[in-house]
Amino acid sequence: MTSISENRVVDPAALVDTTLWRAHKSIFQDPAIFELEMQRIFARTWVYVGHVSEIPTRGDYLTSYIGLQPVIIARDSKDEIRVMLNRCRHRGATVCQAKSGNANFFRCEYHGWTYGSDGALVGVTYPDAYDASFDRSRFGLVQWGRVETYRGLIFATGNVDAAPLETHLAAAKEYIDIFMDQCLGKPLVATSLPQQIEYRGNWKMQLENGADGYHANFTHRSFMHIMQDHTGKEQTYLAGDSPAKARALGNGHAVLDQRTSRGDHYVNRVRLSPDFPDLLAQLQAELSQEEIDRLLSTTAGTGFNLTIFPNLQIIGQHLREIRPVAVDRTIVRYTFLSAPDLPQALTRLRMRTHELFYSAAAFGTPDDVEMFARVSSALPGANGEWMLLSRGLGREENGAEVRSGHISDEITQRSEYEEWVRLMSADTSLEGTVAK
Amino acid sequence: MSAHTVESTGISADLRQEIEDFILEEATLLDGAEFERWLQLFTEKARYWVPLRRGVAAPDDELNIVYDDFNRIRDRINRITGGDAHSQDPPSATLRLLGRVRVTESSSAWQNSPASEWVAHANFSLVELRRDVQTHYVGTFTYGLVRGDDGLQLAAKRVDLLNSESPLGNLTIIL
Repeated sequence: MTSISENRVVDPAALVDTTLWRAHKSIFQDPAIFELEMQRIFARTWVYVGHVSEIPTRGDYLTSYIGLQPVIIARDSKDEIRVMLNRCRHRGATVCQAKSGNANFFRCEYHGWTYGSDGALVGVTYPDAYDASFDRSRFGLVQWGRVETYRGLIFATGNVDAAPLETHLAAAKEYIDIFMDQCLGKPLVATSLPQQIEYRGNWKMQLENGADGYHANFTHRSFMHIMQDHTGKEQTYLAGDSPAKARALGNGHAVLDQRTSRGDHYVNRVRLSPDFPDLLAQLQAELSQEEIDRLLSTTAGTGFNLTIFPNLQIIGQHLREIRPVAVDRTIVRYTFLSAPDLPQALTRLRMRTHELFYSAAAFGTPDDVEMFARVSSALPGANGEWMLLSRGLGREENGAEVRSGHISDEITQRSEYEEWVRLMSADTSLEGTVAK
Repeated sequence: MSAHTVESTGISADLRQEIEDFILEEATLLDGAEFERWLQLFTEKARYWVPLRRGVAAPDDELNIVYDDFNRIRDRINRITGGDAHSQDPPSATLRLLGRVRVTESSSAWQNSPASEWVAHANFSLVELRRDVQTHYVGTFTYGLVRGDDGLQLAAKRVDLLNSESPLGNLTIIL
């Protein structure tokens, strides 16, 4: 199915060749495709918008974006989580300015219209200028289709007829469960401000990269050398003969499962933390050795990188939200999680371990960002138009629900782009189904 | 920012000059990419901290952009000078301008920081040049200083970026 966008015909299915498995570079480059992605992917499928612990009490809110659309994610006075357009129904100004907070009302400061925490229009200034036919109940903040949560993850879809979230999550659910249960079953909470990374490049570069088991030994070679300096061992847990698996989980979701190959690599990362001996001693004062061993095994991460198409990756100890800004500009929001019910020394150790690899100044993230910039800088020009996604195509193992391959195979990217093609090729009659 | 006063009470003119010279030397070493010599300015118990959250009192219970002990500072230098840190290929050039240096007698650069004898602050404007693109950072440096056998040493360095809570790109330069 094709669509006219900016007076051009865009045929998404022709841009990702699912037989040879290659993708045309225009999917990183073409503003018309980006515009179509905002309509057909971000406005339509289940999109991650936040974690329940970011709005724990009634009246709490976050402001964020679904695609390019500013939204408010609010816990209303009846404890219901709502996702609403951050846009006054009168003349269209944003009604909430802060990144997060607690409010009984959202007031548009342009002309003073006021909305309840559930979005209902509760106040119109100088109302006698509107006659009896003006029905306030029709002019609440636009509610974004449907909102559902799974294990604390808040998702919203603009498609009111979408399948239930749990159905959509498919085989990714069991990985989410393992992640959420990693701290002896204690609830995970966003204990910090989100960290934000910005890069010059398309949003799908992060989507591909967070599901890429092939790049680590090359993109992150400098980090692997640091680990080798400390352990005296070559870091081979993601090498060509690793038993680790890459999996397609359905509906575009994917996982890199390194639990069988990581060995002591993750625990060694934890041991490099500043104050490690002191923090370990504090844990030993409060927990059993068996509990400590279990917690240390997941302090650097649960041993898999999970992608929930199109904009959530669960990596290390954090939720990574991919936020498209423009065809060539992306913001990535990292929400670090810990278990405040356990000793604070554990949260400290988790933060120190996160800081090793994940920040704009850390030993991992910047090298990914550099690769996105390098891909972007080589996009212009007419030659070399296709990117290959065929690695491991001949050795995919088909299961009932899940397809598996070697950790370095591009089965994960193929999973993402199968869903991309499906959504981008969808019938346009469903576009704009956000509820009134 | 921390609550240290602007007044430089109890600091002799000579000491004040020595501290200013030391801080300028520290900045010059970084802009000159003399990272091994820069590392030697730190005590073995030193910390290098770039907070994420603006105005925060202490690093331990925060998620930080950088919170290094001496080993991690050394790893940071080894990584960016080791030849395979792609985010520093090509390498960045930096140039920093420091504002007036304020010095106080103080035992801590931040809550529970490694012990110092004096604490100094200076606002900065830092431009990074990489691939012909200039990126501008501004903020405040805080230095925890001690007297070592061979002169002043850094027990702590804190860098408060004005845009620490905003989206950041490649921040692999040492601030």
